[in-house]
Amino acid sequence: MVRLLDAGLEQLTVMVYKSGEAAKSALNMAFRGFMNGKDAMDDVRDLSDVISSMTVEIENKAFELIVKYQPVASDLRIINSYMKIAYNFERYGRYAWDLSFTHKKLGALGECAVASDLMPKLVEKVSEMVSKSVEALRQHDAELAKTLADTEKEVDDLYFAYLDQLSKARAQSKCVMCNLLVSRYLERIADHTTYVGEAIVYIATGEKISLR
Amino acid sequence: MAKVETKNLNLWFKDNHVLKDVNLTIKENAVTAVMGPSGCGKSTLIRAMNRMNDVISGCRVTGEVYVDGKNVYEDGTNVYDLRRRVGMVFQRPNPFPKSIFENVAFGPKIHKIANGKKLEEVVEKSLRGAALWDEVKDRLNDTAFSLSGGQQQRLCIARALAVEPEVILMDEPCSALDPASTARIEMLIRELSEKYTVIIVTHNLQQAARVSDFTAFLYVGELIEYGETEKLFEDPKSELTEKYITGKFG
Amino acid sequence: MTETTKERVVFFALGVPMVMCLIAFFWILAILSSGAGTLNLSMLTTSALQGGLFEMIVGTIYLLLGAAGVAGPIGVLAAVYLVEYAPSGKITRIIDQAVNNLAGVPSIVIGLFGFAFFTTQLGLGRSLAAGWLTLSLMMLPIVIRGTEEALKMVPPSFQEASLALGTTKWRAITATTLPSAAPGIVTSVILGIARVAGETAAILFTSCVLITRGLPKSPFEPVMALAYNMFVRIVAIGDPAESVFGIALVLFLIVAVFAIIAIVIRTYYRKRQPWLR
Repeated sequence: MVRLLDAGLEQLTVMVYKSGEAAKSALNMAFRGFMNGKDAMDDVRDLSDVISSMTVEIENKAFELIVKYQPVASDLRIINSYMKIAYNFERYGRYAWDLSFTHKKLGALGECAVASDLMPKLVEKVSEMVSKSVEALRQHDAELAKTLADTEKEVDDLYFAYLDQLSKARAQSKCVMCNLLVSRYLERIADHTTYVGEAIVYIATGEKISLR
Repeated sequence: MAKVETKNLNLWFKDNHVLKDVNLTIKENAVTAVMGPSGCGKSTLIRAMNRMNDVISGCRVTGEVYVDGKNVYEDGTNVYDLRRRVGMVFQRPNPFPKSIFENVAFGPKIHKIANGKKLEEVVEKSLRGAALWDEVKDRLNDTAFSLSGGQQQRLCIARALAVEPEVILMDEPCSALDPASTARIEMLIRELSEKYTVIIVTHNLQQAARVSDFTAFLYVGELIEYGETEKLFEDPKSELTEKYITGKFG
Repeated sequence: MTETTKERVVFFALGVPMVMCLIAFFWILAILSSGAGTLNLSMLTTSALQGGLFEMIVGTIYLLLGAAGVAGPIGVLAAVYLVEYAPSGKITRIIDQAVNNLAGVPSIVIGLFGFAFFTTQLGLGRSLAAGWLTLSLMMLPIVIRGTEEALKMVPPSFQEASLALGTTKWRAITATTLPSAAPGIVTSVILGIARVAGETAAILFTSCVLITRGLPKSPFEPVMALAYNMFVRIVAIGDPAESVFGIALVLFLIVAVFAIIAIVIRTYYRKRQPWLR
């Protein structure tokens, strides 16, 4: 049976998914710029602003559905989770901008990414997690979401290994400062993907778990 | 502690199998909501608890209903005392065509609970218990029909309270009332659960969620799910329950 | 013909029977009033031995009240049984039919039955008591029917509420249903009285005589009645019809008073029964 809520729920789903895709693009843009020593800051900032305004729209839409339809059970879990996920996507966008900003201002667009062998690995893993989170959202796939826990562990290990590496760096260079901050952002982005994963598991199973 | 319990309760009206193997436990001093689509047998279920179904011809019951551990369908049960202990409030307020005072005093007089001065005290206590005293204390001799719908329903609640029940059954008590009256009665229901065991049949999912501690979902005479209200509404165990409460079928 | 015109035609056509009834009513009233000439107020209190109507009036009233006293309780209890207790089925249908049939029995047949059974068989003779019993047979269907209707009009929710409070069914009926049905019951008793007020055939052999010395001192004595008196004067004595118009007017007024009382009772209690709207 089609309900009044269904149309609104569909709209909300599309909005959240679009926000996820945009956040993924923003991060990919930022990563590409960073890896290739190119300036991506302006484009990423524009996209990040778009994502922020999408988040506001998503919140409004979710509130509208709650007020009008008093959702329960799976509907309520979905709407609640979407709001959380939208917030986390906004964070993706924000960190994408932070990354490209730091690369430009601090790192002077140098080829900092390849200064260490660990950095490209870190970028790759985090990029993988971001894609997974958006894909898991699309399918409401709890199993896929749960695999984020393993990758998060790997990212944590890489992060601490890299920090260790950095602390032993001989020279104080622009790339060292830039990479210190960038690695931090990457670790945070990974955390946020796990929050998205947790919200997806909650939609599908009603369980509140921790993926970290 | 289970105040009321049904075991393998089956009920037929002539050939119509209305309740099918219902096993339900009602906790004491809590509000339990019974919900389900129209015709699923929820009214019949609560009426089985005070044997009000007996007055309908063609009613046949198997299984047991325990109130305080005693099976009320056993031979020799005092049905009249049962109905005093397990009171009922109906969907449409049905005060007697008498004064407000006489309505509340009706029960105690019949069961010889109180007389004279004591009766006046009982009436006042019951009206206070139903959150109606302040509104009617100066006009106890007015006819009950001079009250508004919501007030009449509270009068019916006072009437039930006057005979010192232990359990109060409510059959969609707010469905004939406006939102403001409904809200007052819902608050009253929560207060009542401190002293009494309340079982409320409702159509209104949000009301069940607002008012009850436990919820039972009945569908075509079968008990599909029973559990703590919050959990049931957040994450129901049965797919049928999920479909019903999200409105995927009426 | 347009729709509006059709409506108007129907409206007036429906009014014709009503107008005819009113005309008939006032015509009768006029005829009777012409007999008012033979009346004066003192006749109402003067004994028949002196040309007054006192014993006839009181006799009629005794007969009516006594019959009501018999038919009332029996009729009400029967109606309560039929409406509240009788299982729907063959027996109940037979009883219903019997009540209907009783209503249709010609009054002369009832009078003959009364004479044969109450007067002769039971040995009551020509008496007030025999008259009560015979007249009550005519009143019974009206009281039963009226009480049934009054009971059915009481919302069943009252009884249900009472039962839910732990009363027995009988208590629920006496405490809620009967009090609410009371105005309707009283009205139907009064209508029953109005119905039998003018009955001549039923009291012909069972209770009346042309003249008595004073009022009857016990129910086993015969009684004078207005209707009987009119009948005997015209048929047995051969008085001209006009001479009894006065008596007819008195009888008419007595019945009118009863009918008005019934209407007043009904109107007064209607206000206190909002569920009838």
